[in-house]
Amino acid sequence: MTHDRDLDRVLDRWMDDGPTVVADRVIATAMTDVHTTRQRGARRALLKELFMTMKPTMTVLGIAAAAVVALAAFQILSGGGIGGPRTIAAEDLVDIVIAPGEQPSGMGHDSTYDDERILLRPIISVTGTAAIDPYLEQPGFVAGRYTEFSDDMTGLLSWAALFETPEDAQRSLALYVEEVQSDDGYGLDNQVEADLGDEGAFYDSSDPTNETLVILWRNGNAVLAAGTFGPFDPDVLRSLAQQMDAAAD
Amino acid sequence: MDDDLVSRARRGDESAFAEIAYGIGDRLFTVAQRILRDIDLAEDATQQAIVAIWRELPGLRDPARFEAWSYRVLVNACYAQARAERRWSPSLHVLETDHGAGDPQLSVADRDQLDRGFRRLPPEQRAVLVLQHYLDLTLPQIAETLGVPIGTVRSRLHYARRAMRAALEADARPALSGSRPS
Repeated sequence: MTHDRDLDRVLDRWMDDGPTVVADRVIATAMTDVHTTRQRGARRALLKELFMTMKPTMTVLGIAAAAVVALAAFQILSGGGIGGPRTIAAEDLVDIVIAPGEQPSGMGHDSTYDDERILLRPIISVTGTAAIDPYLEQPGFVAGRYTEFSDDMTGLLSWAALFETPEDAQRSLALYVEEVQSDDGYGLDNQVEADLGDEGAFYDSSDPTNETLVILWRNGNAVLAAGTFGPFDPDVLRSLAQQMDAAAD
Repeated sequence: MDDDLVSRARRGDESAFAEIAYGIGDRLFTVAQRILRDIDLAEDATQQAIVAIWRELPGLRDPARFEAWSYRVLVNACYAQARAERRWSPSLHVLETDHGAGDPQLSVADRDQLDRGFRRLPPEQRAVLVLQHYLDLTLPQIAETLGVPIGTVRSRLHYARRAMRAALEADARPALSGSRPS
């Protein structure tokens, strides 16, 4: 017990050391980003307040109007209205991205994401919040899926983002290629064309201490990636990427 | 935190939120720095947390829970910073420690050992140690803040404390040298 109390005292004192005041520029930068960031669910909260103050008949009319708008939006998004046909659908993503249980043996499943955050998952160069908008606000983004696996030495990511049109996907691919190649990002300066989808490449680094490998490609209206860090066999990564591409075809 | 300010910010009032952000900035940064042990990463986590707090605020049902909720958002931002740094960075940051400052009752050697031991902990274990020893939260409060069961908090604390004790006792030094009452 005394030993425990000693440890508590040491940890208490040690935690008290360190800075206690944040630089003003940190909050100022955050507030600049806040100015251009939409609140999630704000419209729903406003609608809720609106419904609470409306008379019952108005509420019924409001719900009916909302249902009409929702039906129209569904028809447009499902291809029944304007917009070109999509070669890959959102429900296909679960089969395209490496699923838990399909990873190389010995690796554990760490996480799966399937909301808009997937657009940011492969990004490592962005440390300030101002720079995330180009990734989060990508035109035509429909859905995505990201899975991550690791063992003691290596990690593996499998990622796919689906867009309304192949042109949207092409624009997105360029964003991620820049991230993979830039010094602030993955710093992968070698690029070899990958025989996957419509366009894409295998990226690695000429710096032997950088053991990151990424295959990034586009298949129709989807952008796909498979990446690893640590001492991972490139052929295994290629084979996983081929498996993903075959599922996307 | 003033509930009225939080309610106004929930409805999209940026000036109310600015008041909140400047009010909580120091404590968010202080906690982030304790978890990440790096000023640059802590500043990034603080910025991200403030923007995330603004973005997600309409989803906070009870303004009275703002403080605990804001810590949860911050801790998640710290996890993201720590993971990005550890997983995808080809070379790990060399983190500086200012040995000239700090509690004189802790020896430089102890601080070094604590620092090394702490950096080896996964971010989830770091967070529970900071919430317990820096914010003085109880186990149920930590569980509520992090949104995990108390058993999980207990287990994370157990492993974290064991690792920190081992770090202090490394190199066959007398445990907690210089800090035990004689």
